[in-house]
Amino acid sequence: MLSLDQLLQILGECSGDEQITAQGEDVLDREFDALGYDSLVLLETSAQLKHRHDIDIPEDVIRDLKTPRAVLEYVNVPASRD
Amino acid sequence: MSTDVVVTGIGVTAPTGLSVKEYWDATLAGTGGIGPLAGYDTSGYTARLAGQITGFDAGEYLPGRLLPQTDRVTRLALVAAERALDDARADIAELGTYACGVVTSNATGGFEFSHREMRRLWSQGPEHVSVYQCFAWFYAVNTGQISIRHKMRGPGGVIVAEQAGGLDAIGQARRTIAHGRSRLMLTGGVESSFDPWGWVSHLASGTVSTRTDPTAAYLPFDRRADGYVPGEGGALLVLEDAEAAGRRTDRRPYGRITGYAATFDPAPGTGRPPALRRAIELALADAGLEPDGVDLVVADAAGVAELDAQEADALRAVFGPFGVPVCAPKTMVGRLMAGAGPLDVVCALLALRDDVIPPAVHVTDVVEDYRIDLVRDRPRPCPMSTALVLARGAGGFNSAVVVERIP
Repeated sequence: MLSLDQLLQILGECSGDEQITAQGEDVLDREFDALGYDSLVLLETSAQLKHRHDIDIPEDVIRDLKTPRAVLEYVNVPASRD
Repeated sequence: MSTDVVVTGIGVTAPTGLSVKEYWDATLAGTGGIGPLAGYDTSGYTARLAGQITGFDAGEYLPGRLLPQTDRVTRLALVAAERALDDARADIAELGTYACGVVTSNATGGFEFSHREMRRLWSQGPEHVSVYQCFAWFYAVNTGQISIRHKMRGPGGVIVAEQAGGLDAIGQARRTIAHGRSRLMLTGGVESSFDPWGWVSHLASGTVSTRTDPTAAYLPFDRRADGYVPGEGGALLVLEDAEAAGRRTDRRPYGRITGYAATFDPAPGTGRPPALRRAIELALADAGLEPDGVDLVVADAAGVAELDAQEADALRAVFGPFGVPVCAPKTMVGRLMAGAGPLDVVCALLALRDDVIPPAVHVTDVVEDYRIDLVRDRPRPCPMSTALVLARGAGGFNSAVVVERIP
């Protein structure tokens, strides 16, 4: 299971946005676009998910995951990977 | 070129100061910024002196979000860019985001960033290389990041011509404005490549001084000339059409860019002369000036005997023996590659503003045969209105820019 805190930690490091970790559930449904995270931040995030948690999100999938909740659901709910 | 192009803002990141005032005060005082390269063990390298910017904490100046994706060179460039735009009181949104452009020069890219990612590549594998490596190393990265940060979507570009490129960028920015393709251009160059990998690339030139005494390592035009000391940093300038700038603000511009030319040396062994003299003559012609209209030359000041002799020859051929005061402010900061020309243009503009020529430090024994009037020891006050700035890049690049005071 990947927790929201773990995801936000990685997002924060990859984007340089130190505030994100403190926001917790407030950002669950905010779109990455609105948070100012571009496709490179998400690619870097997916690389870190692989290194640290052995979670593999294909490039074409991460593009379609628009919010932190969508990432967590993809990672934590096996059915969403089919 | 009929359009009058003026400099309305300056941002400096130099070994002797992170603001225009700091840099200029240090330059007039003859304060050296050259010292032992810090940050890692340099005992295994042939050369150990550099013009290094110390005490630069990017986090103090830039948003945290820019840090994971930027090399030191880009952080320095972003700080210089912001200060130049602030100095010009330029509001990009008001001027029009597509009316404002960026053209910078860079010759080494983001070495430190790349070095770290290459280490990851060979020790951990390709998946561990940061995605930001795709642009963080790249010559165009300073232009790109400045353009993105300040929403300057007009004409953009990067020029790579070793140490001559910074003047070429200014020439290109001036041309862009004169042709009516942009309203305002941010231009110049910033360089930084002093991590161990970058340092080795400097040493590969074979012309870096191996002396360890900061007062004896970089002595252009001196009988003891033994090579140069690399430096980091540079300057970014805001260029605008004079009339449009005058309508926008009543602040007095630093000066005008009235001439520019670039030439390329013939291949070694052809027996044809170097092309620096032609660059000077073409730049003067572009400015509509005769040699006696030039009050000051900011020399390239290679610090390598053969190149110094060539520059002295060109100056003598154009201006006559001892025909014009020559200054070499680089003696205080080292050779900044793409950052050198723009920083020298800043120096020229401030010299014209204050009617004073800064000294070349530590140069005590100018080769007599050069017959040049090198300003040494202390600043020389004298009335001036026009200066010529020269830069030469390894591989045959020669560039010249003429700047004039606004009466």
